[in-house]
Amino acid sequence: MKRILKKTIIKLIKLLFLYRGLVKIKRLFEKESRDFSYYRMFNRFIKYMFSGKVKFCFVYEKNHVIKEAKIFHSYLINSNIKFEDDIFFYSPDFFLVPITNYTESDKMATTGNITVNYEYLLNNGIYGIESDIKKLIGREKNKNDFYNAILIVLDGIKKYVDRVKEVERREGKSQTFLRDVPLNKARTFKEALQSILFLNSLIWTYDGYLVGLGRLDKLLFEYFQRDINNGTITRKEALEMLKRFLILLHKDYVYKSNTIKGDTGQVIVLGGEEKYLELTELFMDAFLELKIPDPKIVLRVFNGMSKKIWEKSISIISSGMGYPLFSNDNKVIKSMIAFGYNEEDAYNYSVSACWEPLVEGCSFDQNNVGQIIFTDSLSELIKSDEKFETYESFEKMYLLFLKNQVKGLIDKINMIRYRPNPFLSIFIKDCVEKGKDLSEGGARYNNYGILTLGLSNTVNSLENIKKIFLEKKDPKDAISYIRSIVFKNYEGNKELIKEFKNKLNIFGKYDEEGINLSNLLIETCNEVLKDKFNYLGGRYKIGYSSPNFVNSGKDIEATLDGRLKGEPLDVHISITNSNSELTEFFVFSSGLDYLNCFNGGVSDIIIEKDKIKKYSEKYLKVFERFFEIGGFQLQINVLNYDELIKAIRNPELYPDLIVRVWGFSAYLKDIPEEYKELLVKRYLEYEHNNN
Amino acid sequence: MSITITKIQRFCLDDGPGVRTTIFLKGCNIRCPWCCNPENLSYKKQIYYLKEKCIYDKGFERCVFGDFKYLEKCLTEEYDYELSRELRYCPAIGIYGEEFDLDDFLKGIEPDIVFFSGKEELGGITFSGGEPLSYDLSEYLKGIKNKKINTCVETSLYLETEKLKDNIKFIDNFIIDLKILEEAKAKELIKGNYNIFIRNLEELLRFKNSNNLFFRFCAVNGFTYTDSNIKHLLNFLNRYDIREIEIFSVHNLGKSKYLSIGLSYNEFQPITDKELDDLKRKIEAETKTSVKINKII
Repeated sequence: MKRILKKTIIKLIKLLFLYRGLVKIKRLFEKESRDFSYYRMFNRFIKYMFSGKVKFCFVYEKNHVIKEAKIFHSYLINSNIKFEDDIFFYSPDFFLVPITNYTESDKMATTGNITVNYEYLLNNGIYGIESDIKKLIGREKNKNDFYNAILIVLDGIKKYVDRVKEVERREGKSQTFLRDVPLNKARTFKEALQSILFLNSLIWTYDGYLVGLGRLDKLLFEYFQRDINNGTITRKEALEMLKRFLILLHKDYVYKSNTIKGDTGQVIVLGGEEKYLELTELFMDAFLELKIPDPKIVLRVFNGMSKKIWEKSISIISSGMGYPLFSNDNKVIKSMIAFGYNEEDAYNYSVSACWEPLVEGCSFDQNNVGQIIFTDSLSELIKSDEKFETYESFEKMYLLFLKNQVKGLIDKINMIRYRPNPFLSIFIKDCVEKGKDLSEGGARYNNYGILTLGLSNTVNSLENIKKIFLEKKDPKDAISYIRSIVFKNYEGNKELIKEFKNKLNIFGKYDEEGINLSNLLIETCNEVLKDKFNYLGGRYKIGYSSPNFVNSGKDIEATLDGRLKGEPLDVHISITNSNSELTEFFVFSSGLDYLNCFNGGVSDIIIEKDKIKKYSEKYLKVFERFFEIGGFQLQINVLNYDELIKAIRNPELYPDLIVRVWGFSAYLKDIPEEYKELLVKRYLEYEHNNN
Repeated sequence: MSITITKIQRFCLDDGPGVRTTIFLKGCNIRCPWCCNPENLSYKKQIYYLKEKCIYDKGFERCVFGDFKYLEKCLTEEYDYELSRELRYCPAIGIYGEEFDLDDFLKGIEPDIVFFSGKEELGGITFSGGEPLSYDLSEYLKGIKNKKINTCVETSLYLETEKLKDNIKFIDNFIIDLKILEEAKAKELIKGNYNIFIRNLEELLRFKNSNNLFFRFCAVNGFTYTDSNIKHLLNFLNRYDIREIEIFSVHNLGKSKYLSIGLSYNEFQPITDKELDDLKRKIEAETKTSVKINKII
């Protein structure tokens, strides 16, 4: 009965053209408050209707790609225009609700978590892009829908620019923000920044999520240098512009966030080459002065990176902002080339919302499309009634289970279809040339990234299981002992938790077994993935990280590494044995196989604030060495225990305290309690060995 | 010759140039009442019981690691240092001291070899104690030097000069802890022969560049931090033309370790920041030595 009712309601919603709109409103509610009920939703809905914030955009169109272009167009005709700064215009609108006929594409996934080719807009302006499209249209009939859709998008943008000018006149603004850009190409540093802001705001307005910014020092350097050399601007003025640019991006972080407030994907990639040093530094200075968690920096560490950049990075890190995240060019580029990215593109890599490498402006790479939880197969195996004579047969069976798990995951992923997005297709290379939308494989790269979780929990568990097999002698005793620990959640065996965590866990210690076993699990996944293709023709890559260690951990049984049922899984690549210190951990981490596993390879560490300030020079050298011996990426949470505890108890006293969550920085006040608890727990494990 | 190690502590930031892996060796020739590593006084292995980590002590009905009576026996009677399997995993009980031969040792520092090899400016390996030079470390030091790793020894220099001579050429840096700088008082307070200290120091100064010698001074009320000892310290710094010295206050971080091996502990009143600042000013005014204050965090 309930099911029939539900089906009827959904049908009605589709008939009433409300499907897409309600999906969006639901997402908006989730952002504002995570605890929502139907009752509260209804109340909010009524409030929204009369707040004036929400605007409805009506579209009727059956052709999928044209429909998307029309929705975009309609958004830009209706969007709210506000002026928040006196030198730049930036006005993303998060409250546009589409009312459209229901088509299959409405159920498809939305494109997000990519970094577009801002350069295309900067170099050509909207007029230039339009003339490119007009040259292409008509050549091949079957591509006309796509090109026509793009023309609708461009028309929408032009109308939007007119609207902005109109509002400026009405409000009596003394200047015209969009006089030259984005319709024309950018000529100055300021115009380049304005063009980026403009395009970025449209991506957000058109339901974008996890919107990356890419290598801005590289992109902007030419403009910056020209203006400085001409004497048009001073370094100080450029710094001021950058600060305003960053503040505007930061402003609506609540609505930009994907899940937890701060998870916006607004990553600015700096470094990678010495050429842009002046601008790299200027960006860092701006961040240092602003002390905001979002946007944030990924710093590409390259051979011979100057000490200046290292030192600035350490001062930003020491101030507790949780970034830059360091990414080792030597390793990342090598892995990307080995996977099949073209060399020039690999050198120009940027990252998804956290750190998963992709080629900016060329990649439709959906790097967070699925997740392998290594402990799942282990729990399943322990629950099963399989019999084992030796540990070796146990491990073999685990690997078999794991392979099946990966196969199942890929089958699921291959069901996903993406909704057309003619707007973003303009700014991802090769779509326009090919006359193909992103959702149909227009982009140069269409590889999917798989996240992994619980690698360390599983490696430690397997190693501890091996020890139990050795000790118990009779394999039946061993397996029943293992089962009793897992099923009884360590009841009656509490001492084992300490034993595992303080003495036996090998992940993160200098231990060949640990490294080999980790690499074996990765290899097993790759055996399945290596000849799988997604519907766009792209391949699958995996990495060592996932944002879901807290949420996924809730459903997972106790593991044989001292983790109780429901507790978070380990964070990315991190220390799991309280006797392991940083240097040893770095040696371990640099021994992992990144060549075949590069969709994120972050070593996640915690450092006491006073300590990194006092010994900044020493830490700097240690980080440098980490990358020299083969470290892949490094994320550092700098915390002060007293401050952390006080801020958790009295958030109102520390409104600006920033912490690093899975792959982004956020205000402590904005993150859920369970993440705060985990920070405290991990801090104690790191700095006090207080297990 | 084997050595007895109580701990291999990685990522030490205060034990020599750069980042160090510190090897704590068991046994010492002198007895400084403010010593913060009491587990390294005796050359013999010792069983310890850290009360604050004991879950039995925290109200558990029984010790989950084994028979507590057995444990009491271990702590009080002569004991052959073989712990039962259960006790091996107890967080409260353990043995200070493990014997290493050269092969064990090199295996124990494998990660450090990867990390530090060929990177002397980054840091290296430090021997501390106790008095590390009371062991013949030449083979061990040679093993480390062969891997192109910087070596450092933290010593009081209260040891036979011959032992110092044996090791000196393999040691890149010395951290020298200055204590009581007057013959009679040194004998009385730390049971050390001051003349030997001076002889060793002169030997060191002959062989080593002063850039490789780091002097440290722990200020302890009633012991090193007295008017008379400070006066001797100033004389000493002038006489040997010491360029730099690090000073810091005594602390009580070693307390639980004293109790864990059945020794009594007397709390020390830390020297205030102001007193340290004054001491720094005094030294810098009356000698050519520059002073760095190290605040323990």
